[in-house]
Amino acid sequence: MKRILVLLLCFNAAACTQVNTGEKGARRFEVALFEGAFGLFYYRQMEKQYEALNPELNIRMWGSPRVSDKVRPRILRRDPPDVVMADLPVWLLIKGKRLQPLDKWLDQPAYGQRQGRWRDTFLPGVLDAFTYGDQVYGIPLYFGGYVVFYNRGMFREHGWEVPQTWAELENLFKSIKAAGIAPLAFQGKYPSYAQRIYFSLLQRAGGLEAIQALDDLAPGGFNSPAAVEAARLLQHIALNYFQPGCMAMNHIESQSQFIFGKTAMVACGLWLRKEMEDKLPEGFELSCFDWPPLRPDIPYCWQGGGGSFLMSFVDAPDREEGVEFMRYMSARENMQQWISMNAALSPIKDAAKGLSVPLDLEAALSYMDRAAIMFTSRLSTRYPSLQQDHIEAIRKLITDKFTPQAFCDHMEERAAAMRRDPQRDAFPPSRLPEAYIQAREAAL
Amino acid sequence: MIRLPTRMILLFVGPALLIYGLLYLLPALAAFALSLGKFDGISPPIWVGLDNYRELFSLQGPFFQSLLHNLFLIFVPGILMLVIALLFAYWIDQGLKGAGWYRVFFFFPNIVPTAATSILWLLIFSITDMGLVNSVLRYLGLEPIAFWESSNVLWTLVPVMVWSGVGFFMILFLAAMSSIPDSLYEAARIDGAGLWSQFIHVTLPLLRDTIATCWIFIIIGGLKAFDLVWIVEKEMPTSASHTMATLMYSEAFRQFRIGYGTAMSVILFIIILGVTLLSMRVYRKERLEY
Amino acid sequence: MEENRSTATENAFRIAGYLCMGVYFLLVIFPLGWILLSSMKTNQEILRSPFGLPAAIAAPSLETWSYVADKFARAWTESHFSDYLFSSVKVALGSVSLTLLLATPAAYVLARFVFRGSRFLFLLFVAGLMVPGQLVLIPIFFEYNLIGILLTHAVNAISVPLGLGTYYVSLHNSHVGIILIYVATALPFSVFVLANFMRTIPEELREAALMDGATEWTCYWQIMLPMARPGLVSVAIFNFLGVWNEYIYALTFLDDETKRTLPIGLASVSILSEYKSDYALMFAGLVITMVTIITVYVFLQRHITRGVTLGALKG
Repeated sequence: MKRILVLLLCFNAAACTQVNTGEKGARRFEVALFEGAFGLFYYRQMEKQYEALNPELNIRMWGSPRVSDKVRPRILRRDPPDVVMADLPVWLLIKGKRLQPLDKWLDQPAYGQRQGRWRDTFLPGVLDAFTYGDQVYGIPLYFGGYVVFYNRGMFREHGWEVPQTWAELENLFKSIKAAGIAPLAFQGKYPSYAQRIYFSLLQRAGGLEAIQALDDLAPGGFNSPAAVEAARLLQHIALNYFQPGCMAMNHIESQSQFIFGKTAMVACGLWLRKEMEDKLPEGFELSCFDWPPLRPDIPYCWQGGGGSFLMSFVDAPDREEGVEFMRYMSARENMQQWISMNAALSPIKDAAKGLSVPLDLEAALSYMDRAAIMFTSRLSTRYPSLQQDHIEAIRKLITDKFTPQAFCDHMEERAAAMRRDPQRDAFPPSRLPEAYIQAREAAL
Repeated sequence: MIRLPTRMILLFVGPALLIYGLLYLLPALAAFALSLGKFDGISPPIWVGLDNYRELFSLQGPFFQSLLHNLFLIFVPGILMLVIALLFAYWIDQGLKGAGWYRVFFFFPNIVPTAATSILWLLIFSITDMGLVNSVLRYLGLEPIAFWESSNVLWTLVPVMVWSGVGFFMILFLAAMSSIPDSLYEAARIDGAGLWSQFIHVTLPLLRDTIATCWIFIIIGGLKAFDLVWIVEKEMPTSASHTMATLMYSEAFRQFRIGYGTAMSVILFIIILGVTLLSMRVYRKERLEY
Repeated sequence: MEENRSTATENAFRIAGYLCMGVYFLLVIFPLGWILLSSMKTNQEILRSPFGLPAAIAAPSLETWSYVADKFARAWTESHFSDYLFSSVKVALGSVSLTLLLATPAAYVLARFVFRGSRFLFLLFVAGLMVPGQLVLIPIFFEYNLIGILLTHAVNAISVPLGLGTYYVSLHNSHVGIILIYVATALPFSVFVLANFMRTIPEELREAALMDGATEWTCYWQIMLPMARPGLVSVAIFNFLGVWNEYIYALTFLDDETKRTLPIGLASVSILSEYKSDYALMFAGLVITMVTIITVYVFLQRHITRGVTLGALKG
């Protein structure tokens, strides 16, 4: 008995010697990354190269599919990593003066350059999503959009065509279903994928104005006729053409259903190829199209923009080193590695020059060329709680727990409650881009 | 009684009191203060009085929904568990062979970590081709069931909770049944009571205390339910599956609504306190009746 | 006639009993056997059919078995299950021993002596039984922020003048930090149960020892502790299982993979393996988790049953 006690005590003493201690001063920084479709391959490669260039530097890099859940508590305990790629309540952090403005660095030359500014190497508009006031708080490594992927081989076999109009899409759905195949796979465990579909449909139904009405919490924005129409279409597609049982599948499971030929299409971001790469059957032809227009008087816009944003924090001890690493990762010659390693596009100008891209990306690029502008919703960065409500309401919409009208009225009510809150964050009203106004006039 | 010198008292009680006070009592008191503020962990807290509570008590709000989910997870599996455990205990008590084996094996699921239990059943009920139950359904030519769809999660958890709970309550009932004197059963048998009526008229009334204890256990455990739902929902419960604890965790550590989250935990505390006090009253009354 | 009918129903009752218990027995055993078999399968085999036998069983050969061994080795090292297990053992043993170390003397004094405030102190500890762990979760998080700042200042006040450099000290993401929390949450129950247990130990023993000239300290150490041993074992096992399964604190306070405990480690591996559709790895992890708990259960089954049910009987 006593011997056991003594043993346990020794054990305790041993355990207690390991309080978290970290020595300051050495050249080092920590990088926390979202480990998603692209894995960590590119970042590991960059880490290796950068450490070879700076032998005295010690980079602590880690990734996780749940990186935001790991980083958020660390923000609360004022011990954030130096470079973070995660889904965070950005506006809250900016308002609390915790996110590091990057303009100081963006105004200097890009990595390896003598002149020019780092910020000018980015495609126009990709920094907008993380620009608040006049300052930029995040830089993207990824560039892409949301599309509908289809199984080209299957389409050819059945004589199906890429739909150009809504009527054609409806017919396509019907003939796929008639062939005994589920038309659309859906990542049901993550209803935010349906939110992306909803935004595309909303743009088709109400133009960019309708998207901006949500961003601005404009009265009547969430239950405008266009919003109801988009909700109706989304629900119609979900209830009739989503694969049965999809609501219990995560993204990998449902996308596997697509590449194994159990469904004909899946709506996803352009990272799909890389995400499913190791499972793609031999000879699988992956291609994509975008949701067809609903009204002739609305110019076509493509939902997409920058992604994989990197951020830093004012209370991260080694952020200066970290931002230099960001600069390194976004250098054009490194971005070429990004493109070839990830089969993805890059937000850096001319990065893809001379590189060949796979079929699906080519198709996506053709839609991008046709688009008047690219757009992304800013709901998630501006109003995280409303974003949460929206995704939840969409889950109910696509499982028939909400009618389209009830969905829109519910969201409008939530938005109204937020508008009434005197402490809410007021953002300057969104402005329609010049290119969009011109395209709209041309359409009329 | 010999008096203990104050020095000894301090030496014996002091360390425990220090840790307990610093890491349990103090935070518990701090929780009440935190719940009265709007605090995002980043900017300094703002005093908002009872606003957080007002938000909690709206009937359409997420908190009330999650409370209903807790109640579901208490009573649906709870009733099933107790009925099954009672039956099994009665069978064993009536001298079914292999009692020792049943005890050992039926109790086992109870000590499997909840995380492992959840993942085990996540796989068994999976919608994909590896899912055990759905494979059987497909084989029988039936439509597979999306067991882990968010709005089905609570129902799917019922068998899981029963699976892991039955053994525990069975052992409790067995202990209580073994203390019922045989003479009572004999007397009942002489009066012509069958097995069923013996069970109803002898066993059940004498197990009333134990059953009450079980309920308190189930209720308090169910009110705190976190890990089962958290894991089967892949750490992202929805409004169809949130329990009070998962909602509290997501609000505080994901949405940075710390005051609001703490207010939830205060309500949770008040409910548990209520249940405990009520149970103490019931016990006292029953003891008096004896 | 009457007699016959009652034996008939009794037989039916018995048969129904065997049937139901048999089915339930299978329900308990079957999932365990299934994951054991599945853990030997490749990803393709898992996805093909949940019922098929793994190649390692159906066609045992060096190749198929080395695949199994390789997979478990991968789960053990790459997926950090060795770290998870080690952390779990460390945290559980650490918090259980510290709990006993603190709770036993406190319970002894509060149970056997009357002094001013003794009743209040006892009630103070017992009151903790009604406080759910969730109530203190968020405040402790911020309390640890403060303690971290204080400790950092304190350490640096010594280390800087000595030229040892500056240090950053925190109880977040540390086993010490979580052990302290577990001890604090386990104290009310442990003190309550142990105090009740100590009250049952006859007073004469102690008095006789004191007559013989023993000090209070040796009296506690030589007489009370050995007498309280069964109670200590039950409390230890109850707390051990509680800590072993604990989820929400470990999730909040541990984030390095090398520091996470088995339950959260297992959950994060399950999410990761779904992202990579590497289900084989998840099964392997499940088996490792199960095997550890089964081993403990086989050896300590009686103690465990008593320890776990103790909570219900006393509380």
